[in-house]
Amino acid sequence: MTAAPMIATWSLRRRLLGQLLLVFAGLAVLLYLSVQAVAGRAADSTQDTILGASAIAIAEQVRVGDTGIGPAGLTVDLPYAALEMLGLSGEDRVFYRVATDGGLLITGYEDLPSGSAPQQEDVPLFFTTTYRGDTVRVATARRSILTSDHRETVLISVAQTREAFGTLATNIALSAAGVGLGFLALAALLAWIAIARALKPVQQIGSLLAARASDDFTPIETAAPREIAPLIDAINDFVERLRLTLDTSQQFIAEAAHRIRTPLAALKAQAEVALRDGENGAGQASTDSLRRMRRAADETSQLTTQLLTQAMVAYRAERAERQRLSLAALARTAARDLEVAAEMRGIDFRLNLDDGAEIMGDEIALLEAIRNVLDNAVKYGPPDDFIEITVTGGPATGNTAPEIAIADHGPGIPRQERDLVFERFRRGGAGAQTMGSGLGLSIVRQVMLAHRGRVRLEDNQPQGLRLRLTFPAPRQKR
Amino acid sequence: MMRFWILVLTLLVPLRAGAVEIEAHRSYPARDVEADSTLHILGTTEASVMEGLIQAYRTRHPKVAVVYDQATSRAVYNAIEDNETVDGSPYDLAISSAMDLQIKLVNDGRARQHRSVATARLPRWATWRDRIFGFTREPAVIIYNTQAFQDVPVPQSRFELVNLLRRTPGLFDGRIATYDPNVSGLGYLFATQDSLQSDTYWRLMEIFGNLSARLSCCSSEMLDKVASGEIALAYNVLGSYAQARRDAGAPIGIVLPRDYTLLMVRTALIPQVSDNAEAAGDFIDFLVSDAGREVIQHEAFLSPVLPEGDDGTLIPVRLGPGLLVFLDALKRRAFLSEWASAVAERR
Repeated sequence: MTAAPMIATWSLRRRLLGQLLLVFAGLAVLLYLSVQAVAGRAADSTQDTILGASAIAIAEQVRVGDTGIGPAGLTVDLPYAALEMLGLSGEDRVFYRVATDGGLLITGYEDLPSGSAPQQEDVPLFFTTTYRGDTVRVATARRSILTSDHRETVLISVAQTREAFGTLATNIALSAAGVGLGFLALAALLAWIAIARALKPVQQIGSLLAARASDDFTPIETAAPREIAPLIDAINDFVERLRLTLDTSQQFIAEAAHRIRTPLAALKAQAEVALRDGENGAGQASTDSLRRMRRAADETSQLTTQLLTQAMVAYRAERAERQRLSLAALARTAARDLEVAAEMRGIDFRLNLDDGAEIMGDEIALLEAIRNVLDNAVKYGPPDDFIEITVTGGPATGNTAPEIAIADHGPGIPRQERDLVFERFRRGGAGAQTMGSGLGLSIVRQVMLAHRGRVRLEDNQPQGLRLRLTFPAPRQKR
Repeated sequence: MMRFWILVLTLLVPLRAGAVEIEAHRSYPARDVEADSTLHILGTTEASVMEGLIQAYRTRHPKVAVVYDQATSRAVYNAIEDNETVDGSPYDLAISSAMDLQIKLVNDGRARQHRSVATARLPRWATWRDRIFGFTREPAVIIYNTQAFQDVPVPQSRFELVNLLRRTPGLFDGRIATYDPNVSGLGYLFATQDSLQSDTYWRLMEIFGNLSARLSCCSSEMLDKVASGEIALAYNVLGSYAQARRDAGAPIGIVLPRDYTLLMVRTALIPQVSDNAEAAGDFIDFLVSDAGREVIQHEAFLSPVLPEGDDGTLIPVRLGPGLLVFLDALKRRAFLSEWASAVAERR
């Protein structure tokens, strides 16, 4: 017993699950990133709203001061709420600056950047910058005010660090990531269950097959999903072929045993006749009896050879590797093998070969098949005649399906017998006088079937049999 | 010439460290022979009040030597703002009753973050940005001389005080006092927070002006005068000091106004430039710990910040950016000018 070859196996379930999880994980990351972006923008806009309100509240308190109060004659009564409300959202640092657009500080942090002046008084401008080592969001409002002698533009900036809002955005994004991970886990669980359910029929079929008796060749009948039906069909088909093969083998063995027993019985009978003759006729065995014995031995030998050949061919036809072969070369080899037999009957081979015809096949099986056909032609054809061997299908003959045709001028096979001669141990009516096993054409058919080819029997003109072996065209060379 | 005098003063008075105007200087060696480090504290709290706290801290951290410098709240602010040093070392801890100035130091990035289990227990209004920590609660109270109020009902709220002063101006003319917000940072804080709470404050200040109220620099001065009977009633006095004085036997009554009582906290922060932040963090943790609260209450005679809650009429001054508003120079000028027109100019 040889060990079964190790075939790398993989789990359909794990592969499906892995791919699904990969997709889900991708979606979770996408969810996190998009929520982070949205949350960041939402946090920005929330902070902007508060900063803008604060800046405008301060802007409203800018007024022309009493003499001597404030630079540029302006003063501002900082509203308590303006800074207090910035402390409600978290514990961020707060900076403010009120200055003329010329840069003259009225109050606040002198070095706080104001950015550019907004176009409208009631719409502050927002920007992000770095101030005193922290990232700050700045809102700048503009206030135009008439002093005693001219119109002054005042820029009011309120800045706040971004810790609370950054934390808010991060928290929202993290929650989203948590939700995403939760979905991922849930999806994994559901996917696992779904895959297990989907794969259940496969397991059922497996246990059905495992529980089967080894001689049970009935088709599997179970309600299977559409995706698995081809698998079941294939298994049923295979079981059916297995059954046929086994049947054929059993019949073959039975018939072979029967067939071999007949010539052996004849051989034994002749031997007994010869023995009796020898005892009666002073130790002289009749030449006639010996001749018949030889004939019986020959037949047995040929039958055995052909049985072995058929077994070999049947095996090779199924298993042997296909290779590219020249049909003409096969024809030449077969003709050479049978040259001696043909010469003994005064028969010539007339070869008409297209060397370009190529087929894919097993050389030994094909040679055997062609030799069988030629052998038949030599046996059944009239003596001192010729046999035509024609190969077509190459470029020279129009690239048709590769074909070898063998034509003799013998008795031929009547139309009604043509289907029968291919069966094992069947012989045509013409074969009654000729020595043969009845296996030849059956081997031919088997080889041609294995090569997906066809065998056709035709009448030769004016008389005889024309046998054509047609092959599928080989795939084009790459 | 000026420089010369400063030099002379520096040599003569060892209470002057660098450019910081020090009111009192105390040095405590480490309990162990080998000192690991020295903790330099700058604070507004009186050195004698801090003594008990520092001693208790030293017991727990025997390898740390402590130096305590007492200064005014403005001096403390300036020293931290300008990174002043003592004996070549930066201050490691700034303790002040001026919440607004302390908040400004934190807001301007002068304070270092400190997180611990102990500070996490503080109520939200008593801490900000994990950089400033309230460790005492100081209600602003009304104090009165008990003899002066023998025949007069004690006012329990600002309304009752207004009514009392209106009904019997003769009893109180020249005999009432409050902080001068021009002089005292704490007085300014109380006044501004009062002005945010209710308009009654302005009515009260107008009456104070009409009754020629005395304006004082500090709680201790007002307590002295109320105890002696020179003053009958003082408004917005530090409750912890009043309590300590009354417990010591002074004829003083204390009223926590029923309409609302402002609650100030004394705060500590670790300056950014501190080179002994670990010891400073330990000191803060001690201040807000159960043991520290015990010492604050029974040795320093201050009220510790409670971990949770307070009754409804106590309104804590929240540590937050709102405190920056009244530090604004224009805002301060405007407020003081309004205050002057209510009080000072009526006298």
